[in-house]
Amino acid sequence: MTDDRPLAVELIGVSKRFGAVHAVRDISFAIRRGEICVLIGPSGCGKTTTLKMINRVIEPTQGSIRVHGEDTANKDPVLLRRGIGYVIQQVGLFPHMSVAENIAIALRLQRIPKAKRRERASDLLELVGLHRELLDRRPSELSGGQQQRVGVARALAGDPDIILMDEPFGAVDPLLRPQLQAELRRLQRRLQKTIVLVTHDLSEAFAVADWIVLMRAGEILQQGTPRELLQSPNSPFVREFLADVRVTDVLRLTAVRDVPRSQGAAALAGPAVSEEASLLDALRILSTHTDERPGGLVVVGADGSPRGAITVSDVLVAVAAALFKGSGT
Amino acid sequence: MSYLAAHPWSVIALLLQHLLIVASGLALSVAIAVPLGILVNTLRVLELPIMLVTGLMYLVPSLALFAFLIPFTGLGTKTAIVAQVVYSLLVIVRNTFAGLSAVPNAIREAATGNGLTAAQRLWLVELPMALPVIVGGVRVAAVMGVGIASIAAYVGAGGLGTLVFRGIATVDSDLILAGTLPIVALALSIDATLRFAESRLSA
Repeated sequence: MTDDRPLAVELIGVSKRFGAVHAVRDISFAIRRGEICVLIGPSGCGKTTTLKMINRVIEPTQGSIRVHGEDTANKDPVLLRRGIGYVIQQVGLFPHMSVAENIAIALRLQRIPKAKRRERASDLLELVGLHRELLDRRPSELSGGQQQRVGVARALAGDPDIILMDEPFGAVDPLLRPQLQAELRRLQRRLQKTIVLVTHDLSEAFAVADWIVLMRAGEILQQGTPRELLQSPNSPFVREFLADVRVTDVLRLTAVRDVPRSQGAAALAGPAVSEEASLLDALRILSTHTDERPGGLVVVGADGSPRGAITVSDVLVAVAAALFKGSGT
Repeated sequence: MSYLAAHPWSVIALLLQHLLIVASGLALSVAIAVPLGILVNTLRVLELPIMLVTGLMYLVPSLALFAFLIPFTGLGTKTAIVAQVVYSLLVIVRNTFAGLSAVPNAIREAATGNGLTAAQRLWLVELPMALPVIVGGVRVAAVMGVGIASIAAYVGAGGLGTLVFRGIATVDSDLILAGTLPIVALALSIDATLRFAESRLSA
């Protein structure tokens, strides 16, 4: 990771009890500014509770949560929430308000004039990929995907640095999800927001996350970059949880450099691939040379100098290992 | 129909008086019952006691209620208005509570999460969403109020009931009709107006 960015959100030894039930137990993690952190785990693992403690929709029983270095316990919860965008699975658009009024609700609370609110709502609508024509519609007149986009626009309205998303695409047609995930990624790159996203969908986590926090029964089992999780799962549960990972995610997250090489590959001739490239890139290169049927790829460093070679079976074995065992451990 | 044709203005005057009683009773009922409904929604422990009390009040027969009220409010309009409030509380409190508690949790959470205070959430989200149901309660209370105001003529409140009671006393069916027809018309038109408001609000 690049570590020089300041922390946006930090949880230190946070626990939450509901009566006798320990929903979250002594968890700690930190999210750097401009990063997408995904909380993932089976239902009931405490991921949503954890998310809601960040904006104090749920109050922690123990531990401290810092937002931009400040302990949230010392802040007025309403003011805290106005600085943090919030998107939930059921979207929760206000049915009696137009799309424009929904988006601009945060601005209305700040007593920003109506014309200005509308202008901002209109810009935000465009930002999330919807047409301005929808401004005066009621939420009930929109499709599920459109409603979800409006929900995201509403979370962006106050221009918060941090956005919390609780299963944001859970209620959306599964066929639309990859597109929305890609858009979220693009939007985040553009706006440089810090996003904490809760999901139980592994492919969603791998599609958007810079950092994954894997939870079970109120505890963190493992956290790290998607690549770290994939390459070195620290327990059988993590391994099992990752068993459903998609081949494309494995290919995308495994670097050519990390592929164990077989003997004799060094003498191989074939198209060149950068050692920084992913296996997905490697396969793409192979696909442009199908006529020659290359036995492998020549690996080159950043400066173009050769660094040996990998055979096609090396690639296959690496993918198989990641898919079925979790390689590296 | 001859009385109605002969004295249209005196009937209209009684109609306006009737309307005034219903309107003041209704305004007072809303002013008391809606906050009570909000209170019940916020403090759920109050649901049983408040519903029980307003429910019992609703069960008291109207003549008995008048008899009970007269020592306090005397003969006249005041008694009619208080009686109307007593009968209206149940339905408006119940509908306010029902409307507010029908607001989905996700909406409530979205409002809180987007930085609304509890009061802002109530004013900007919950009450507007509950409004059609509240207006439904007000409609039922209003129609009931027309009836109670008619009977209240018995305790000297005035209004169209005066004609009905006078007609009964003098066995004059013409006079009874002159009172009854406008009462029915008034009830029907109030019902239609509020029904329209209700449907516009829930659209």
